[in-house]
Amino acid sequence: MDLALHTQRLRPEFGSFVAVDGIDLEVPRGSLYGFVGPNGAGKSTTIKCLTGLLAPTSGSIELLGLDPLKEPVAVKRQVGVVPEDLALFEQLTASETLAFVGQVHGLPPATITKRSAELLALMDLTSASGQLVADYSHGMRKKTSLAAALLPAPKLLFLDEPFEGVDAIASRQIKDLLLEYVKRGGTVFLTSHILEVVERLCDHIGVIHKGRLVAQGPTGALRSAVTGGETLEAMFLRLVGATEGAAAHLDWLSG
Amino acid sequence: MIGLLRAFAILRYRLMLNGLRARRRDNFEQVSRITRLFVGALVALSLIPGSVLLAVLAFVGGRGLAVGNEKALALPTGARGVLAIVAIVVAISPILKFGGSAASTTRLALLPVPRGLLFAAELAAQFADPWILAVIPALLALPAGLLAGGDLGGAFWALAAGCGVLLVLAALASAASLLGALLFRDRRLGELASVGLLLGITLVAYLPMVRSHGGFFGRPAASSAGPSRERSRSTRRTIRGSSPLRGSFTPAPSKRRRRRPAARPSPRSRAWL
Repeated sequence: MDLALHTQRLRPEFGSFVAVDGIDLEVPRGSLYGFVGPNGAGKSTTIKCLTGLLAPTSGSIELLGLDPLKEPVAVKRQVGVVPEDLALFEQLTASETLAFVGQVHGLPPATITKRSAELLALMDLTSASGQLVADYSHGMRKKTSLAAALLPAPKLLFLDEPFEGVDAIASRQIKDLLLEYVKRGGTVFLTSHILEVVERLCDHIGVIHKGRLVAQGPTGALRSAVTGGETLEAMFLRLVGATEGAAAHLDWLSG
Repeated sequence: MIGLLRAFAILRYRLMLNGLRARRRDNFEQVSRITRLFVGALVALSLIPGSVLLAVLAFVGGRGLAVGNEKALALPTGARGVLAIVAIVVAISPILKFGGSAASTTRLALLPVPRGLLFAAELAAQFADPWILAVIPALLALPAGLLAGGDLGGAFWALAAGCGVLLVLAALASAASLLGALLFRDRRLGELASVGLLLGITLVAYLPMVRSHGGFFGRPAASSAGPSRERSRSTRRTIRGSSPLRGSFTPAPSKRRRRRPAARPSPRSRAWL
């Protein structure tokens, strides 16, 4: 299998706390991989290790056939990232943000102008492109960060919670864009809490729980193997061992 | 490489320019923005003449040193004082003004730019710090003055030392920025550090008073044998001495005698208790 992302025994530690406990990720090229897990499971820490924001304590990472720890610049040229905090300059406009990213990636000015205009139109940000990012709503910021990640035409895209805090319209725009990107040969690795979206969008899934990868594989096959074809939510709850019906104890809420 | 540096220069320029732009926010934020602009203008207004004055003094002093003028011997002491103040301000100001730029640090770390170049760009950006900018003319004027006085070797060493001082100041500002970023990642820790820093500055401001009064709670700072006798001798010397300036800072014995009863109030004065 041709892998865009491959980790072996990836393990970041913070003192005595092991955030991610030796996970082996396998993300095929051209796939839309959903990385799900409960709060504090280690999703964001994993994505930080994969994007070079955090050095793992041990283990190896291979992105597009390159080692990001040895060749960070070569890897970053081919990778787009929408991090958890979106990492935008508050005092820049969307156009200026895209221009800066394009300049750093060494794109010609004409290409930057053309791609920026297309991305801003696609994200419905053209009318707001002159406003400072500080004045944007959360959804607008998310779309700006996604546009900045897409501008250099990366081969692999990392998205940390792309659907969190965005409205239905923006969510639909992002989903359509990701599907189109994968159709053209790109690979997406995203984390999300919204299991319905992951189920409909992603063709591959990895489930992390307490820092350990408890399941990984094609969505349909994984669902059949774990729950006999039930929903992703049922599969997820079974894998992470969550108890259902906790609300039954809250009888004082009857009003 | 040049393209990268150009991109960073444009980024800094746009961030500075957009920082002055009005944003469509509430009145409180507008007041904050105007205050920031006003303070910036005040600092610029005071720094520009100060910088010119320092440069003139450095040039005249350098020339005086080269030609052997005795009055110019005060120059190194003055220069040390100015550089010490600038170093303290440069080290403190990034920590005090820090906040909210962690996201942009992440953005820079995600770009295909070598880490070394990012650090170099950060270091170079510190030269735009107004306090560092203010001392650059003086650091250049000193070797120019020495050169004008005919001391070529001295001018060379002064120039080299000036460049070294600039690098140290830039590195200090950069280190302070990094420290600020680390502290303010955790809001609670950042607030604690701010309070600690402000308290520290306040306490340092009391140091001259403590020194002049001999210590906290009125205790003498010097603990050598017979301090009171030594002090009374020096007081007498000051009063009788030739320097009217020194004498004016020392209270007369009669005044001290008058103050003593007020320090220990009589039981009658506490009658309201």
